[in-house]
Amino acid sequence: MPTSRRRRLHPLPLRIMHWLNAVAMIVMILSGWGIYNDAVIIGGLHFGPLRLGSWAAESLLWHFAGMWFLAVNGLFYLGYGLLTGRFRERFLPITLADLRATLRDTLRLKLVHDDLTRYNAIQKILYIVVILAGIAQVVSGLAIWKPVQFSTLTWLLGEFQGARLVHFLGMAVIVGFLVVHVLLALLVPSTIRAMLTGGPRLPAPPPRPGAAP
Amino acid sequence: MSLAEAAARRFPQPVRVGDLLRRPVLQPLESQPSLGRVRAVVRRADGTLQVVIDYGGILGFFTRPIAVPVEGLALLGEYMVCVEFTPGQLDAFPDFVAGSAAALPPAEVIRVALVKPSH
Amino acid sequence: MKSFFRPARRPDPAILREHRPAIRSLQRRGLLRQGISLGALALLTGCDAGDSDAIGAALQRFSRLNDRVQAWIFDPRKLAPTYPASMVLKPPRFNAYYDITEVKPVDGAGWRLELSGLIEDRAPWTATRLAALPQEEMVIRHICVEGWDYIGQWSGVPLGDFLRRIGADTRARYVNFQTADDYPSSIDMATALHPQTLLATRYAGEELPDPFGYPLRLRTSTKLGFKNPKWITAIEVTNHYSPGYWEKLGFNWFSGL
Repeated sequence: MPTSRRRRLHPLPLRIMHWLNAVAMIVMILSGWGIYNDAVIIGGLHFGPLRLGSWAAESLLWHFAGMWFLAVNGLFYLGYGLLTGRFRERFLPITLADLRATLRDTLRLKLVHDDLTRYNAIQKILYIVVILAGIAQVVSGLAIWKPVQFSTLTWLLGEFQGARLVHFLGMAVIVGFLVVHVLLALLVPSTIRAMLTGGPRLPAPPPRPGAAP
Repeated sequence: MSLAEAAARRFPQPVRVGDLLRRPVLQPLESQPSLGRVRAVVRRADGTLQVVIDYGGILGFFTRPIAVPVEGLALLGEYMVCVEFTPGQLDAFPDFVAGSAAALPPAEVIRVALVKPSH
Repeated sequence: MKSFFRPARRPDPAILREHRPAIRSLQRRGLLRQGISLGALALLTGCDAGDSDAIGAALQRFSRLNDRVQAWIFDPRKLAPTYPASMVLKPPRFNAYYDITEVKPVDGAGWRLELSGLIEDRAPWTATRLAALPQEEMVIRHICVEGWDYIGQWSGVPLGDFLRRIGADTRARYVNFQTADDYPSSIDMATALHPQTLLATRYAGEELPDPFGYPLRLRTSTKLGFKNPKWITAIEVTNHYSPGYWEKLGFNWFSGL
């Protein structure tokens, strides 16, 4: 197969969705902090001026505009990842041996990411966790936004304050991921270049979804 | 303006003593830091009411009881807010001595002022 | 836990009390504050002032879109969860756009409920006449846009029953409210006709206390707390949209739950 016909590590639609998600997520986090401030969940924890929108009304406007970008883009991303086989290709399998090896390397501060096309076990787990956290944010966000229309959902999450707590913890997971993700990307700048230009070409054709491994 | 006069302007509402017990007491700040929890409501010999708060500490441990005039506190939903004393002032409150004032029974109804969220 | 952004010790409350009028006058400059915030936004995004206006307008367009989406999601037959009376918070939580000390009690004897707009019988109502109508009671969760909530027990006349009794045009789009504390509010007709939308006169079996809207307030289970005006003095049925107190400052109008 000629090189030019082979797939990129990050095809164009994926890159667009990644950067859209990055902007939407930051808008949601910073406006969410502004909304949180009016009724704190952890006594004494207040985000002060670290917020998008100078007061509740503006933070809410940002949050309820940003949610459309986050949710619609996220749905496209989930559909894309499942239908093209990207999720399976990038995130599976996660083996215990790989996890042990990665943990050992990490503890020795041996952080190599020479082959951008292959994720180690911790990377795979982190990406899966943050995707699940993103889904949890949309679901718990719906439960907070519409606790009467979707009252069963809100009840399942522990009523209104339970749903708020889930939404808050989901944010914490995503912010935690964001810090590690950005830090590692800055340490290995070729990963940032790859997410902008597409990165290396992949050696093999994509796995057919649903095909036996 | 005295404490009682200030509290009277805050539309005191009837509340069961039993509904106040264990309530967190907050500082009137946006960040809503907790000062402690309500342990009891007591009536002193001169007839004034005080709220005994398990004050300070860390995560509910190492607290000490202090008695705060009920007029210095206000109701904010399921919380109480210490509207009239700063933590610096509360630090100077002496320890409440158990038995030095009569605890009100949970069924007794007292009147406590209101406050709105601090922001 | 202490916030890194807040002083560990707050100022003497007596100072706050003395300067309350000055603080209030600063708080009233809400529109100014919005202006400043758009400036801050411009700094953040690197846009100039013209762009900030464009962002503000775009955000408002999303808010209008969200009004329509919420009206579409709203199920007029869907009832909010109700709770046992043992869970009711007594007294309820107070909130207003001003401090508790500035509540102006309404004289129930002299009070009249004025009616206007698309209504056949626009004669004003007294509290006594309202109390003679069939009453409903509900124990529902009050949810504030700020993020807090509590369970309250409200009774009064279902707004839908009242609107039909006075010959209101229930095909009209809006029901608007005027209040004694200058807090205009408006809701959609579908919410006005919802069985859990009450013209509430009682809380936890007692006459509504002054800070909570005596003699008449709105309590609807399907909207955020700020859509429940207190101390209602007038009701208008209309097809003309008029934003309420908080909507004028940028909050979403429909604000359904």
